[in-house]
Amino acid sequence: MTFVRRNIWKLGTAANPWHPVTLAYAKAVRSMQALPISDPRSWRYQGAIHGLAGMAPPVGAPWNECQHATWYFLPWHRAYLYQFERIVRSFVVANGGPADWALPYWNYEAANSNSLPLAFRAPKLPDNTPNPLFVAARNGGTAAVSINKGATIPGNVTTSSVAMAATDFTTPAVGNPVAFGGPRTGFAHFGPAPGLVENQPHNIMHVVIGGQSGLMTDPDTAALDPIFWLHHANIDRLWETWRLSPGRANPTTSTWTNRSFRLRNEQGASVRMRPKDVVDAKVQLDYTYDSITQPMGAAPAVVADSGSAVSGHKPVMVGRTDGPTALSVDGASAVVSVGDLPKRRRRRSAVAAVGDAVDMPRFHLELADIEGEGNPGVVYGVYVNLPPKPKDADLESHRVGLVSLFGIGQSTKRGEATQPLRYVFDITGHVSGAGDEVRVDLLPMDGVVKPRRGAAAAAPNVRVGTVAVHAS
Amino acid sequence: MTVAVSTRPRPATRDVALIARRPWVLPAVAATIGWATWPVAASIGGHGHVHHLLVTSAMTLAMMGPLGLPVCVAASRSSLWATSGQAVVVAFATFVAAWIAVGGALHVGTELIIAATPTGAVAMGLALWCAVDTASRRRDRRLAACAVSRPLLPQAPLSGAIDLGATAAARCVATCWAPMALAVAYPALGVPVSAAILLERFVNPRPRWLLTVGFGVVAIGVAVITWS
Repeated sequence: MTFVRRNIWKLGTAANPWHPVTLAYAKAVRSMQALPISDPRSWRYQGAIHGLAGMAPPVGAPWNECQHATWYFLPWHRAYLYQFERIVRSFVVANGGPADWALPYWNYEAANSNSLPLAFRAPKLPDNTPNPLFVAARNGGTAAVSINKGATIPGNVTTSSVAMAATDFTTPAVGNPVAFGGPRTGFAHFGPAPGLVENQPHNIMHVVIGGQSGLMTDPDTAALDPIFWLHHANIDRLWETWRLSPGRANPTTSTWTNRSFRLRNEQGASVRMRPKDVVDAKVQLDYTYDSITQPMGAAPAVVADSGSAVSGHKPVMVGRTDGPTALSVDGASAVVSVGDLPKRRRRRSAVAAVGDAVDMPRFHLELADIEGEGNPGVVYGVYVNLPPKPKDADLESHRVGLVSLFGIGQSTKRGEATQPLRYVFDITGHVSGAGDEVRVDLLPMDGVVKPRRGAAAAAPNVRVGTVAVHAS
Repeated sequence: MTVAVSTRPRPATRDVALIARRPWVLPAVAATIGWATWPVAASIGGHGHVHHLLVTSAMTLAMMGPLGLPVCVAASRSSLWATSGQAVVVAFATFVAAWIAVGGALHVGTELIIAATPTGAVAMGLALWCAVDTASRRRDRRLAACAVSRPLLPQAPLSGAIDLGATAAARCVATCWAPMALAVAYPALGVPVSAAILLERFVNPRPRWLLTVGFGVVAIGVAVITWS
């Protein structure tokens, strides 16, 4: 049997969002929440596989193993969702629900779907018992404008267009990480930099839903919010869509295909899955989506490709700030002067050598060594050379990407922790060459629920250690 | 809202330094020097402090020099191109110096322990520790943390590079002190332990079980040799 994951917004109606699939999910979540954390099928154990702070894992438990900012991000989460879906289905069947139950997905890019699905906002189930899909700890809390009250999310926040336009899956760990799936790394709880689809919409939507202190904002609590799984089903659907698009392909190197992930199945038993076991959802895992179509409209001006691959030159840093830049809930600004460029040694091909127009350097903006003890809960637009008093059109044309600092707490920890957050954006269209002054603004995105006044004042301090421009 | 302003780098009068373009050069040279001098230093004989320091330094260069590659890459990537060669050299020198100091400390420590305990017992204990640690998932995270990134600020490239090298060395020592101590305590294991360290650091996925079994076999072998 091939299970079909369906769009949550097409299940049920505004008057009655309780489609049998959604109601079965709610009841299964309740069953899982009733189990102790020692049970691998329990809600909290499953959440702990993604991340759990403050509690040592039992011997052999695969806790705190989610893969972020690495090329394992997509296959690890696909395997994780697959086993989770099997566990939920076993509870659905035990509760008398449909045997062909499959995890729905939330396509926030689709028309009239850019707000939290109705069933996740209702405090009660139809039988008037508490709704386990409702979580109070979401962006905006109980305010009138909040995720739980149906606040809409702008299209320039939910979009996956930059990621879907990328043709490469991966880039070297030390290069510019501007490929679809993430940089080549080893096993990495939080690696050097997110891939394009991981950053947007994945990371962005986590913080949009969670806000400053909601479950979804922190990787250690994110999987406890039932919407997490529908969000990730959508990310998984985007991967399947990307894979089936012309000119796209997953890595085939054994370092990617053979990496083993530890998970738990519906019997609670330990299972291992590798990327090569999950590359084709329909053939290997017996599930598909009701729609696998390119969600993007017109591709953005940003060329989502490896800078080094495009120019044939190794990236070098040509300008950077003198010190850390403090990032508040109101944003931050920095100015970077692009110094003279070094001599260029290699050309990609004979064709590139024909004329300078073909061999123009590419420029990337790097925001790196970002540290903070917590997430301010703000989605920032990253703007280059934004004019004073910008109009909406200026904001659109000067924005090179978004950041949400998802995982900043984990990335900042020392000792066993992983690496500080790093983002890279292609700004070639905004920089012409040596001597340019690049003004970088990080500004909260309009239309996204912002932290309340009191919460904003108590927002954690965040420092961007490096704002730099690279040429390649 | 805070504004940070950059300084302009020096004008381009030359190419990117070779060491910055090829960050693997320094670790490769260091390892080559280490492997070339280690047997020579060991064969000279003598038991003075200078001799021990020489042998330990050569051994550390040979074993840990290659592990400085991520430091060199990070220094190259995190510094302005005009100063990146200098940053790579300083960061790597700091990394190696820290490891040599730790190697010396391990030498003294194992000497003290060996004075009261058979060498074989010490080596067996360390090999068993390595086997258990290699099998653990926590080691994956420690290895991931070895790829350090630190801001190298234009106005303080030297201190930034030193900080980078020292931080990388601290994480590297936290990850690989036990194999290093094993080689110090039982120099005959220097080559296989070095190979194991390289395999673990640069093969992806790391051959966890191969190395675990390998260290287990070493522990058994040392025990047999010691007590047979």
